[in-house]
Amino acid sequence: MAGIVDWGVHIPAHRLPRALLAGRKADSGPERALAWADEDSVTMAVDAARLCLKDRARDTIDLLLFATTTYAFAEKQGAALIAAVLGLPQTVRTADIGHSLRGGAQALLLAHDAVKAGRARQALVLIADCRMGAPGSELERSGGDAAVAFLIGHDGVVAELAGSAAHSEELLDVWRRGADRFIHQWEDRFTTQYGFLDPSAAAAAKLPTAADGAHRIWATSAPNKRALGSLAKAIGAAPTAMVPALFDTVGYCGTAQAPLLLAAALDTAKAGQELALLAHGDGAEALLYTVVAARPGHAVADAVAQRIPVPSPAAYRRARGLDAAEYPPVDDQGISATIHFRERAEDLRLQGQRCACGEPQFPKQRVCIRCGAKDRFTPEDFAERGGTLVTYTLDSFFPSPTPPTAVGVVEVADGPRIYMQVADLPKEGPTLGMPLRFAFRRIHDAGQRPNYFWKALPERNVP
Amino acid sequence: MSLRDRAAIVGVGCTHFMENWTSSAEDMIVDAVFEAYADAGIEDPNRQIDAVFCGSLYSAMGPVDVSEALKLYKPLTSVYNYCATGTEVVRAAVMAIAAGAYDTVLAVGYDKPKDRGVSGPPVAFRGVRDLPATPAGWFALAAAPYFAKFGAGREELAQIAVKNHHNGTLAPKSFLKKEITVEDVLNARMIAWPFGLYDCAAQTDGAAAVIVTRADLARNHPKQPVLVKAITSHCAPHPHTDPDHDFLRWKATENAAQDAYRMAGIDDPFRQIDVAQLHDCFTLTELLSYEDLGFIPKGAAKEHIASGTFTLAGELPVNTDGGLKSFGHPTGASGARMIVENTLQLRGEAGARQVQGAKLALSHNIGGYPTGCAVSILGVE
Repeated sequence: MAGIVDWGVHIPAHRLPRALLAGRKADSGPERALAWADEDSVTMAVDAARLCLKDRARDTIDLLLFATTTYAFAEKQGAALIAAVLGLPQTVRTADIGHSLRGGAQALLLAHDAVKAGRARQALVLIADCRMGAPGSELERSGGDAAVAFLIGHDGVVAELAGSAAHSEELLDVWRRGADRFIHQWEDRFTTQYGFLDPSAAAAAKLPTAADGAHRIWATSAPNKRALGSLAKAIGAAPTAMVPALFDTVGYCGTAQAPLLLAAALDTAKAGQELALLAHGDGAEALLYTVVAARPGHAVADAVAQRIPVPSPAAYRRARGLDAAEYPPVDDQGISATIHFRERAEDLRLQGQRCACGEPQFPKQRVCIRCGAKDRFTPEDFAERGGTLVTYTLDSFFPSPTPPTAVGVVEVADGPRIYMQVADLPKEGPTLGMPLRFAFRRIHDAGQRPNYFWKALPERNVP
Repeated sequence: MSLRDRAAIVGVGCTHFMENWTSSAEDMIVDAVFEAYADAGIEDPNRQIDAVFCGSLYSAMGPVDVSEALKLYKPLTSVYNYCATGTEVVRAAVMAIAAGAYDTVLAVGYDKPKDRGVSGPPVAFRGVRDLPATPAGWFALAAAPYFAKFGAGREELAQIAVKNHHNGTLAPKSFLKKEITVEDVLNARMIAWPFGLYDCAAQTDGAAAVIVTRADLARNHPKQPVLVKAITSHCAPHPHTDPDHDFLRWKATENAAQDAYRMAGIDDPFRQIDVAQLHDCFTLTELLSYEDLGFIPKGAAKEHIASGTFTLAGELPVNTDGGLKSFGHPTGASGARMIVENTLQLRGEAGARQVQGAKLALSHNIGGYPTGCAVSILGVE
């Protein structure tokens, strides 16, 4: 049987206290996760995928689905980019599932179908969204950003797919037109009733009834806490059967919302439990899983715990590009497409090389810095290795939402030295020799499009 | 082949380094070069100058700036080596003379960065990676390891800025004629740790010109000839990728210094050299250069800064005209400006900042990441 083999989660470390948005001092009250200036749905999905695939072979992944409503390009695939970053075989089938907030659930079902049909040995499903409400709106406060990854396959299955149901509905409840920056929404009571409650309840009702004695847990998307309570009543689920929805820590993270809660449920699942995924958006999608082999984890708890409070409303505005500017940024061609093409392995996979003499190098060169030989290199990927900080500076001159920008020379474990930015540092700043890991980030917007490279981050502070 | 004693400097000229809103690059080239003509007693450049060497970092036009400004149509070569460009221009001139290609040549370095509408250098976007790309950030990378190993800190850097500001007050053509205190330096806004605003060179417009001739022809010119004892350039691996770099030095300076001392026959630079102009794009660059040039042992800068070794009254005065820090840094001109200052020092024409009895003078330019370094040593008999 096909099922979920593993999962991973990325919640941006930056958290925006709602009090800050209301013009009050940041307190310990509710907050939302905020993709920083160097993050987007692609970088978040990459991080979730790397956690999901940790210590796993990647060459049996035949299908990669990327579900999001927030990807920088209308034409140009995100899944192909992510496949390159992850170093998946070039035979992998890739597709983006866009436009709908239930796209994540749909991608999961498609992946199950493909694996079950033998079209893919393993499928990787990445679901990510960055919710961008207009400044001052309720959607700005209630939104959240997150990414979730699921590996679907036959071997080592934790939860098997036991059933599914769909309910399609046409209405204008929440939308964003092609050129819009911000989400728009019709009147709240209308959207809650017809966009959320009715379709969700309809899809839930079509799932198989719970097996005798089985305890069913609901990982359910909902626009807010009150709406989630109404739905629980409507489907006859006890409040304790609903996975806690993280509204006050992460926020409502769109396509990724129900999948994030499914990951949380998997973290604490017990064999024999039933996990129902219920996602709304242009109707609703329901997937029912049976837990066949529990594998306790803390993917979601760890991600929630990594926390950097946004220091000021100004930093938030700069990070999300919300400050008004009389002159728009130069919309030129950006970095040469041929440079992107030639350097894609270095930029996307942190791929360098090792000379036959043993010297590791980054970026790729023709002549070895150690032995002077030409073209005796084997490619080598460094992204999954840690490193240490050889030296650094804090650059206040470089544009950043929260200057200064830390930059330094990182020595990769058994690898070369790489000059790169150091991000998500604690208040105390960098220290010589500090251990670092690598994260795929949006490094700048030259050409008004995302340009990606790796940054060094402190080791995850897992509580 | 050594370049020692093959060529002599017989004329120098330099504009006032400043934010020169009312002059173009061409205007400044004319000012510097005609001053050098006069200094060298050249009345008919079209007859007396055989070739021209020039260099600029920011010029879009390149060599044509120079030929059209001067209306001097001669063999014209443009050289470029980041912030070492100014010394490279003179080096190219000296090599051409030593090769026997020409008798008398003009070398001019210039830059006009203040037409770009920004203070300081640009944040470069060459490719996707390698950001931030700011010179302050690159040159700051030696700070944390050096401070950790040798106990120096921002206070020592500040004293270098204070010294160079003081020297700048004594140079009529310097940009910043303003004394500052250590507290001023420490309290200035940060640019790239540990560099605050006052740790960074003042970017200005400017041009400097040098007339070089065959050593045996130097007496045909009115001023005391200044012999080129050594002029050289060297490079080193990019510090960002060099697998062996300790970030306690800039290897390019060490390499160029060895070449220069060999060429000039110097074995004890601290005792033999009387005055030096060092590339103080940032205060730490000057500090490291004291050691990388072999003036003092590695790690000894802190005590020498405390004892005033490199002040005007010290044993080896450094940056007598204020340096890049205070005289100003029009990138392509800086190396040439240093050679102008050393020429004045060796002729005894340096006024209030004169180092008495100076016979041997060194100048040093370093640029890139940093990766390239040029050193000159001039002397009078």
